Amino acid sequence: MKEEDLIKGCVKEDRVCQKELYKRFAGKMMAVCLRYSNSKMEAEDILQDGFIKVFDNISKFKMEGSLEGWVRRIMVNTAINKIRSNKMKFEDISAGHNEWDHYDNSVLDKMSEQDLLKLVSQLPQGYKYVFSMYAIEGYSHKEIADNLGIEEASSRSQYAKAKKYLQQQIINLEKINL
Amino acid sequence: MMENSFEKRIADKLKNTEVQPNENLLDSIFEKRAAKAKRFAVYPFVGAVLGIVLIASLGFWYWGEGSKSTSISSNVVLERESPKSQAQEANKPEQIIAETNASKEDVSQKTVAVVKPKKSSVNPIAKSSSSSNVNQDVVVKKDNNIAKTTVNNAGIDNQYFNVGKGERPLIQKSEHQGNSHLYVYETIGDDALVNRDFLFSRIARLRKMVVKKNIETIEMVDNKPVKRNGPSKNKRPIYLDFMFNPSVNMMMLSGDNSLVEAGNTVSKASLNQGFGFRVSVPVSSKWNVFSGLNYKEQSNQYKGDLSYNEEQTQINQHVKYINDPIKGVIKVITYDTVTFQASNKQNVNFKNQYKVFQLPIGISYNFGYKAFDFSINGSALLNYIKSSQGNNINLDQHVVLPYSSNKGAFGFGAGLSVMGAYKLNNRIRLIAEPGLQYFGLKSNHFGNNLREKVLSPQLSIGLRYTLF
Repeated sequence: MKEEDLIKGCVKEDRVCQKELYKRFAGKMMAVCLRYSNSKMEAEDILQDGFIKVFDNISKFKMEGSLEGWVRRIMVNTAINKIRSNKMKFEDISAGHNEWDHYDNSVLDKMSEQDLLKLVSQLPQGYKYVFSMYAIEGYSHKEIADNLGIEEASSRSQYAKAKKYLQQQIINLEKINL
Repeated sequence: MMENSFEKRIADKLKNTEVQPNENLLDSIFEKRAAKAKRFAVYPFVGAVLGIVLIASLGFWYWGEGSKSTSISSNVVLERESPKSQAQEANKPEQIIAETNASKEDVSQKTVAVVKPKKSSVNPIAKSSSSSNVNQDVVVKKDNNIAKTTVNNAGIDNQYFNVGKGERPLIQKSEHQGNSHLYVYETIGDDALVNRDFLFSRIARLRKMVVKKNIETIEMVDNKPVKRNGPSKNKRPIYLDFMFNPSVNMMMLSGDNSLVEAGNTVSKASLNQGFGFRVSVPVSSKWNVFSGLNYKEQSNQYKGDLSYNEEQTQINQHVKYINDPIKGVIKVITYDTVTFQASNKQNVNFKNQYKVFQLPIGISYNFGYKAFDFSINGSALLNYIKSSQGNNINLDQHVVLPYSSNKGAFGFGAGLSVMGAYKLNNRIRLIAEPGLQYFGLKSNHFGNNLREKVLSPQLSIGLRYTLF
């Protein structure tokens, strides 16, 4: 089914089209939600709320951009709203940890997507949100600060630490595999 | 450069990663949306009911003041139990039924967990319900042999067990249905529970839950489908419309030319009304055919001055004087008779009335947006004119002469309308339908000397009930 027909069907509340849209994006969006949650349950809650918003607002989608991008944006916003409603903890895992191994991108290339997702999901809360929004979704630090209600400088520092931490985790995983 | 490369690689890898969610989640989404829609529709009714209850309560309070208060049913004891007393009761071997129901009004399925007791184990859910630190109202209903704890855990949504991640009980089984999330946790030892406060997490959504103590194993019973309140989503609905049709009619006259001319000068637009029902049956996703029955009291108004020319005769007297040399002055009187057409006016004010049953047979094309349905309806009208009474204009005698007849007659017509329907709830919609009807009244048949046809703009207002 063409994307345009799919959208039109969803606007008319056609169950077949809604199922098709869900089928098309549920897997990818679940991965997005997992990056902003602490468990699969929580991710499913976000996914559920996100898809409800998608179906409620599909008529507002202008056929100008990509549907996937629009759905992804809704999921991220839903996740952010959830994060804001809960208390967010910014932990500093790197404190006292001065010896970081040298990171090489080749290690990352060898990793499976699922393993990488697992590593990102297991990042401490603050790291995870900032890292996902900046590195994957492409938000600026100012946008992240506005969305999460933190200082822009905090976003930058959290991101730097998250990145370092993630690189270390990737190296550790590689060591275990070896 | 290195940094950009890292981020790009991460983004590339993760942007296409897929993780499949629980397979029941889509059903849960649909049910939650349906419940949401229903919830908004229910607010006015809830408001009305609360208003009535408030008024009734005030009435009872006012009229019942001074009378003795009635006693509460004696076989129900309400008390707040301490954790200790609940723990003691937990050892009673009783069969436990935990029932989850997210929304009593609109739940397509129920999950029923049958729980078997065992003396030695303590279930974290049961334990959590007994915690006095949690902001919950615990109500214990005692009967002869059964003790049930009803936990009202509203307002603590989205919270987790208040223990460290490592000590959190593992989920053995999870079910999602509508707003309900049932998580069955594995049993953990007492040592992990001592001095711990527990908060419900997803169980908070269950709102009310009957829990029996002393839980060991939980077996899931097959889901039983429950009859839905709304129309079936899988079948195309059949609409039953009840409508009130006020209309303005404009007459189109035919017959004798002079009569038509006279009638046109005094015919006025008048307000009519009708009511009826209509059944629409879908033939495809867009097209419906419909038919029904409508009763209309049609009245055609004639009001104003009828102008006509009347022949009149006038006698003019002429006086002349002739000067006669012999007789002197002679007075000569002559008379002229003059006939002429004089313009005259006659005021009329009457209505020709018809009782009409209309049987529309039509087709409609439906399109809509969210809660609004729109359709364009076209129909042929088979009319049965039951009776008529009114007046005839008699131009010769310049009078109006009454007529009345109960001879029935059939007539034909056509209708065109545009319908807008606003969804109040799953079954009922509010209809507004502006349209136009054209039909003949067979007026000659009833004794009218004019043939009256009607062009009638109308605005139908009604309710649409959805059958399935």
